[in-house]
Amino acid sequence: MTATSAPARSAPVTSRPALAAARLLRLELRHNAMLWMMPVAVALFWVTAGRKTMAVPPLWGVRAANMQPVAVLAFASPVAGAAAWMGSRESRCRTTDLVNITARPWPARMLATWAATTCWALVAYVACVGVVYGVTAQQTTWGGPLWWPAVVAGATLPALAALGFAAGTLVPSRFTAPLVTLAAFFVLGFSTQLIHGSQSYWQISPVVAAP
Amino acid sequence: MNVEITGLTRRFGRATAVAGVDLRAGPGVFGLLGPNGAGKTTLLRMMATAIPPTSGQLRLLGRDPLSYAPRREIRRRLGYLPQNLGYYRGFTVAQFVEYFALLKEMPTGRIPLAVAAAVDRVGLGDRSGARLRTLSGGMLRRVGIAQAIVNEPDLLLLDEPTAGLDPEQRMTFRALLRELGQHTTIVVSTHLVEDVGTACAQVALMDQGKLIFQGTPGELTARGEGHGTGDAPLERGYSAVLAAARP
Repeated sequence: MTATSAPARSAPVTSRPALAAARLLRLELRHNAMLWMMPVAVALFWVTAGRKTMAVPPLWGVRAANMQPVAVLAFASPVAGAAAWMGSRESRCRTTDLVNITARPWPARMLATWAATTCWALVAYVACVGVVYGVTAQQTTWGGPLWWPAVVAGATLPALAALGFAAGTLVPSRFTAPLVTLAAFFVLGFSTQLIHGSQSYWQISPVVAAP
Repeated sequence: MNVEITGLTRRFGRATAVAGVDLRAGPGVFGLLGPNGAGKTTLLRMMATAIPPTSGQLRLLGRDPLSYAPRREIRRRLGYLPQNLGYYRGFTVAQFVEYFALLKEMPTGRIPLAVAAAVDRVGLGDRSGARLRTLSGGMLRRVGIAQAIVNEPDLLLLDEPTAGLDPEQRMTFRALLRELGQHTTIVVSTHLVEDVGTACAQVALMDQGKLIFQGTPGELTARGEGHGTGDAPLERGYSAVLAAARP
C-alpha cells in the first residue's frame, strides 16, 4: 500500500439537478405500488362515486357535489395504503444503510418516492373525473363544468399520500400499509359524523361537499 | 491518507463493538480480518458514515464526516457494500445500479455509460435487464459490488464481498480488486483468509473490538511459523495472532 496523500479534488456533481430528479422520479414511477393500486382505485371510484353520480340528473353542480365526497373516500384507502407501503420500502427491503450513506439528502430521496405515488394517484383520479365530466357534458344542455369540487378531491390525494408515506416511514412494518388503508377509510368516513352545526371545524373535511 | 482513524470507539448500550481502533490507509487494498463479532462490520459502518462513532477521531478522504458538507462530499466519492445487501425485487440490474448512481449525485450525462461499465465489470452485462428477484445469491452480490463501484469511488468499503461467489467469480473479483486498488483505497472485511493473501497489500486483524495486528500478509504468515492450527500458512498466522491476543 502506498501512503500517498488524499486527493484534494471534489467529486464531479451533476450540473443539472432537475434532470437527475426527473430520472429518479422516472425510476420511482416504474416501481411504485400505486401503479398496481390504480385499477383498485378506479374500480372503487366507479362502484361508489361513478354510479351514484351518474344516477342523478345531468346538472353540473349536482353531479360535481355528489362526486366529490365519494371520490375522496374511494381513493383514500388505495392511495394512503400504497404510500405507506412505499414509505416503509427501505426498511422492508433492508436498504436503509445503503441509501442513507449516499450523497442525495434523505428528504430529496423521499420526495421522489412520494411524488411518484401521488402522480399515479392523480392520473387515475383525473381519468375518473374526466369520464364523469365527459359523460355529463354530453348529457347536459346548458351550463359549464363546476371545477372546485373536483379540485378539492384532487388536492386531498397528495395530502393522503403524504400521511400514508409518513406512517410507513415512521412505522416501517409490513402491517403498516393495511392498517393505514383501513384507518384512512374509517377516519374520513366517520369525520362526517362529527359535524355538529355549521360552525364545526369538521366542515373542512374533504368528504363534505357543501355545508 | 484516505482513511485516518485515531482511538475510534463505538458502543451499543453497554456493549463495546469497537474499542479505540487506530488505522491509516492510503490507496491500495486493505484487508480486515477477524472472527465473528470482532467489530469489523461496525468499523466499516462508521467508515461508511452509516453510524457515528461514540468517541475518537475519523477522517475520510481528508475530511471530517461529522460535519454535513464534508460528509456529503465524502459520500459522493464513497462506495459501500454492506454485509447483508438489501435490494428492490422489481428493479432490473441496470435500474438498481442507476438508482444508486443518481443517489450518489453523479453527473447525469455520465450515468448510462457508468452503469453499463459497472455492470460489465462484475460480469453481469448480459443480465442487465434481468429483475433482481430472478437472480441467484452470487449474482445479487455482484449487483451489490456494481452499485458500490458505479461512481468510481476513491474509498471503497466492502463487507464480506465474496460471500456466495463461486471460485471462478472470486478469482475474477480479486483481479477487479487489484485493478481498482491502484488508485482507490479499498477496505475489505472478510473471514476468508485466502482473499486477503491474494488481493491485499495490507492486513489488519480485529478481535473483541480491538486491532490486534496490522501489517502485510507476509508478516501475518510469519507469525504462524511453528503454530499448529490452520491448513494454509496465512491461516496459521491468523490463528497464532488470535491465540496470542486472548488470555
